[in-house]
Amino acid sequence: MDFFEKLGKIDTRIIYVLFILAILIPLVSPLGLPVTVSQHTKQTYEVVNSLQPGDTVIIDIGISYSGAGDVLPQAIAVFKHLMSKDVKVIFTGVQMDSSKIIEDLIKPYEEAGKEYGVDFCNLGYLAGGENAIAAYARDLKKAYPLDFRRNSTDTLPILETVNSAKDVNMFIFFSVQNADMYVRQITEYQVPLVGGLIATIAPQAEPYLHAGQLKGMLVGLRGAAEYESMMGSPGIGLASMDAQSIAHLLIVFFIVIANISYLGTQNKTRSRKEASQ
Amino acid sequence: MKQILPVIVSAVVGFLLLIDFFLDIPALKGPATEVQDWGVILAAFALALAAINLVGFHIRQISRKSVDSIHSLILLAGLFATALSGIFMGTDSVVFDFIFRSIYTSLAAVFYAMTAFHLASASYRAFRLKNPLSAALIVSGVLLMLGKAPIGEHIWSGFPVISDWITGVVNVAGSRGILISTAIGSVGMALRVLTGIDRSYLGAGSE
Repeated sequence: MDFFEKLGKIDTRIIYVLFILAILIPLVSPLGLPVTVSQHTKQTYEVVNSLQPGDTVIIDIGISYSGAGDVLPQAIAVFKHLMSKDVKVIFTGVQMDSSKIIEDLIKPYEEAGKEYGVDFCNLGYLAGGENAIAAYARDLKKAYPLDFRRNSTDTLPILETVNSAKDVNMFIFFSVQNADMYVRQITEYQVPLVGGLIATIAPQAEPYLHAGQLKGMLVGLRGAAEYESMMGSPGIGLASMDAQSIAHLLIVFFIVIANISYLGTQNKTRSRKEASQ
Repeated sequence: MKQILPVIVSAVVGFLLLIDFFLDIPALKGPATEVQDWGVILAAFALALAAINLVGFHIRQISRKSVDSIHSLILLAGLFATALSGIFMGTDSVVFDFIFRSIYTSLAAVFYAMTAFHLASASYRAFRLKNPLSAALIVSGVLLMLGKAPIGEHIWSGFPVISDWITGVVNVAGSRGILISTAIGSVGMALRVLTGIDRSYLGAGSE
């Protein structure tokens, strides 16, 4: 086996070990690479920042724990921003994990003195996917007679003046699926729509951003890191950026050496054929 | 009748929601809202039905003593432990919280994280410069990976510019085309279903 063939037959276990190290080492010992903020994140930050104290937003948590690594840091950063601006947040959810994720999001703020039912509430998971979004956007209290903590939604002060998506100042969603269902169901209420998506799905939602149907969009873990950077409040997003950088670089390295091996082997095979002829 | 009644129900419900979406007719608002609420209730029932079906399937697997019986047994134990602790002890109880945070959350995160390892391995084994199309795929993939990671702009400031161009121009053009063609296809498909031409959702072939 010559050099090119060896290069193309690296054991998968070696690839996995290198990949683990590429992620672990920067997490333990960060390189501190600065993160430039993209236009998408700047736009999203400015839209969210335009909210005034006392405004109310709906945040739909369409996050499952399997995809949380990419989107949950976005939700943490945006919610932190909203709380710092004293914006009221109504949490809804269309993934089964939503209710628990929302409880984890609000817990630190509740402990810090924010009041459940006044500053935020957790309406929990509603089955039905797009149907659920359509139902609660049209009539919030009918779709959610009780919140996740079994309070009647008629008794929550935060919902006193909110009956549908038309009554809030912004609709924000974080999703491991796509933006299509939110765009289809929420745009009719003429409320600014902002989204946070996993990096692999976000390119599919770009046309909505260009068309103005989405007023802002955060893309993956990088979007969270950029948002944290704009807020001047480092969190899990920024902490993970070095690991992502090295992991990307390692994948590029694998692609390059695999193709050096492929082209080298092809050349050799061609030379052998020519020699035999 | 078994075929006609569901088609009539689908047509009435579908056209009701369609007309309500496109036209502002106050008389239709109430029925359309009701039907959408039914959708949510049906989805909840579908979840319960799926759980019953799952339990039935795995009980049959265990009773057949198949090689996968142990997996079925673990699944049923996990399903009942989670459901019963949640129902009887509450979702904020120690037991439910332990199952949710220490088992479910970790496993779900690991499941997603494993795709990164497969991706690393696949990038090494599958991405080959075999023809111009595969070359385009590899080059755009590499440019995007370098452009979207902070280290890329440290290597060359042009990487983010190129990756933004790929995402904002090339990708948007392609995505728009796919979105519009899917939407037109969906309208055609919806009309076939609503008018009863396509009955495959009833278990029958289209006529």
